[in-house]
Amino acid sequence: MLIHGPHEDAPGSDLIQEGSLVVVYERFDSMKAVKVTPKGQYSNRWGNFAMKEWIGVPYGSRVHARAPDSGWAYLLAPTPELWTAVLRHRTQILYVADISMVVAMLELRPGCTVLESGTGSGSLTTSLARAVAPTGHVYTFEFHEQRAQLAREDFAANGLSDVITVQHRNIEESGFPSDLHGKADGLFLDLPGPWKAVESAAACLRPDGVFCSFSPCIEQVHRTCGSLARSGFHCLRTMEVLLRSYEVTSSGLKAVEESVLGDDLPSGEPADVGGDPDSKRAKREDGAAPEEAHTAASAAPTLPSQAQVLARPVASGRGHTGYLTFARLAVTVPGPQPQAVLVVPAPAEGGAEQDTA
Amino acid sequence: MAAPEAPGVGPPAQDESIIREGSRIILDVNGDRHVFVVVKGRNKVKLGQAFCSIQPLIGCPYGSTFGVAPDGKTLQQIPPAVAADWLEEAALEVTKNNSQLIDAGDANQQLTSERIADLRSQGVHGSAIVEALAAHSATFDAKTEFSQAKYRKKKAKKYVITAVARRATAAAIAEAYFLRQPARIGHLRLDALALLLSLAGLSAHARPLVLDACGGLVLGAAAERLAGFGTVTGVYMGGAPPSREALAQFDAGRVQSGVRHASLASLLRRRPFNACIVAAPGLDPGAALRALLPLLAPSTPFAVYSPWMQPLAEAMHALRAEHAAVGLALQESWWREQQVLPSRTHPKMQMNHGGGFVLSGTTVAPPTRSAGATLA
Repeated sequence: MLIHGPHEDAPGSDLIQEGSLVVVYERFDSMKAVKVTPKGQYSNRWGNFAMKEWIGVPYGSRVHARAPDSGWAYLLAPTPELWTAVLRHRTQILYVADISMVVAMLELRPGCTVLESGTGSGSLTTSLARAVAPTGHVYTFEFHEQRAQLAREDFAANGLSDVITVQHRNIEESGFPSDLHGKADGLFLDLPGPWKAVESAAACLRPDGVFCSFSPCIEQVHRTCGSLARSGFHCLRTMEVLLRSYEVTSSGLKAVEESVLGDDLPSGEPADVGGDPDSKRAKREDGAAPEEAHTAASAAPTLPSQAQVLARPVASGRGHTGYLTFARLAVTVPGPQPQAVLVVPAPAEGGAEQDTA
Repeated sequence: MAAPEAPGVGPPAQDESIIREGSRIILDVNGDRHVFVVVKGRNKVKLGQAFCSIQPLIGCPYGSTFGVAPDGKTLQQIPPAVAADWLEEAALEVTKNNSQLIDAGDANQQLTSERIADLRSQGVHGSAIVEALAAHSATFDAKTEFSQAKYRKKKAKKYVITAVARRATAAAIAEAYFLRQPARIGHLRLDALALLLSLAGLSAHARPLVLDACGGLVLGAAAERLAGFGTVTGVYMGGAPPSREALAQFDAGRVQSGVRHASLASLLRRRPFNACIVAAPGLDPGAALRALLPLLAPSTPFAVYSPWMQPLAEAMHALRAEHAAVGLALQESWWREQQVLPSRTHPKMQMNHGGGFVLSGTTVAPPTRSAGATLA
């Protein structure tokens, strides 16, 4: 099971069983989802693993490859976040920053009904299911028939069939099925032409229900916002969310006094940077600081530098995934309209010119 | 549709869609100010210059839009504010420039403040005042079309109030606090909060352990995700739990009753937890994790928030050295909003640069325990 459920109250549910889905963790960038079978074999570059030895061990355990290999791996309980990292990409998928924002801004909670199109590889769908389970439901629509079928199989294998219904349907052409009209608390579109589905979205959402569209291009956002404004939505917001990852290392930085003293050292050797083997290795690669000099430097009256933890941004990362556009289905006033009908210009700041007024 | 049994489909419980006496709501005023409102008795809410009774809110559905009636003091449900810019089919074209515009400050406006006050006392609606201001502005006609739209919007902010009644959800409470009193919630921005909830795997039937010194916002948001399917354990270090003021803003009784407060010592013999969030900017995150990790089952996802990077970097370094967790990641959240309007789409001029940092990972069993069992 990919999400928490009452089954976890049963004794032994924290142990891996025959048929369990586990995420084999080798490294942060090397993980794989595996179904445990008594005769199963798992092989990677570290060795061969017999799955029968995994049965009965707690999730989170380290398991070892069979002799003569000495490799090991961790067996993790699957989560939607891990699933996003290991799933087979049939399409471009949504990642945790966008997914988190979508679930939070759609204000999903258990019991909600949420609509999605397209299903794609099911990355977001799985997180939507976790948010609305056990009493809510995700209706997800995919226009590519084979992808719909594969997603359905994935959800079934991950124990999510009770929460997710997948249907092969072109939402841009046909809209959402009419039996979902007025039923949705939240709705998510990741389509090439989301504006084509806005009217149908308005029909499906309950009053004050939240709409979200994910689009890589600003032109898509533009057309969608126009449709939203003309289809009874208000509180439009468009945003980008990204995560910047940091690389954490430990190293010693030279104190200023030390550098100054270093100038007086015989043959101009730089002072030892201390504890961290990585920085020493780096120096040798630079062709400096042979072992003898090391001793000489230690004998010099330098200030000891202590290893400290350093963090810097990982150099390459995503600069853009897509724009998230949110809107709420407006609640109309019952009965006779009040006299003052307001038309408030939409928030406009900045602009293409400098306003001197 | 294919699904014969659709457990989630059905009208919401009557009391969930309507504002009632005793409800806690958030009024989203002109899209940029959020006011916590307790809909009770003779309470009043300040909108612009007016102090209005909250009584007209009762019985209206969540999401309703309110304005101030021409009498200047009564809250009145009005049609939703429609983004007028999108209603004109043709996009605005720039046919003017501002080369002739002279900044003369107040002298450009011939409508005096006395006259405006006079109009208001006669019950003239704010939108009419905005038009009057435009008509009496010496510079309005010379402005570019974009600038005219901006002028109207700026004046409307002052003279036309539209307030949307929002349900007090975690998202609404987080944004309301962050805009007004970010220090009360440890500067925890909505995107970072959303990330914590995802990365720690908060959902129905989870057994979460939450260390919250962000006003109880994280506890409330966690309980919202559980919705009564299980309890959120709010652990505190030291004698008494810290402030829980943000938790008190959640409307659903189920949210508040879904949280149990416990001292660290009282949890030592409990069944292990399987989800964990630490959001206590004032505590050393490494020390907090050392105290909490023994309470977590192996393979538990955890997420730690801090407005500062360095303490998290050090905690990450220590966890890595102790082999206590895998999948460690230190990330900073970045969030930028866009203005999307016909011919005027661009990133917003103002953005908040303090998204905060999140350290996340998954606990693992100590190597010795499982190795013996599997190497038979």
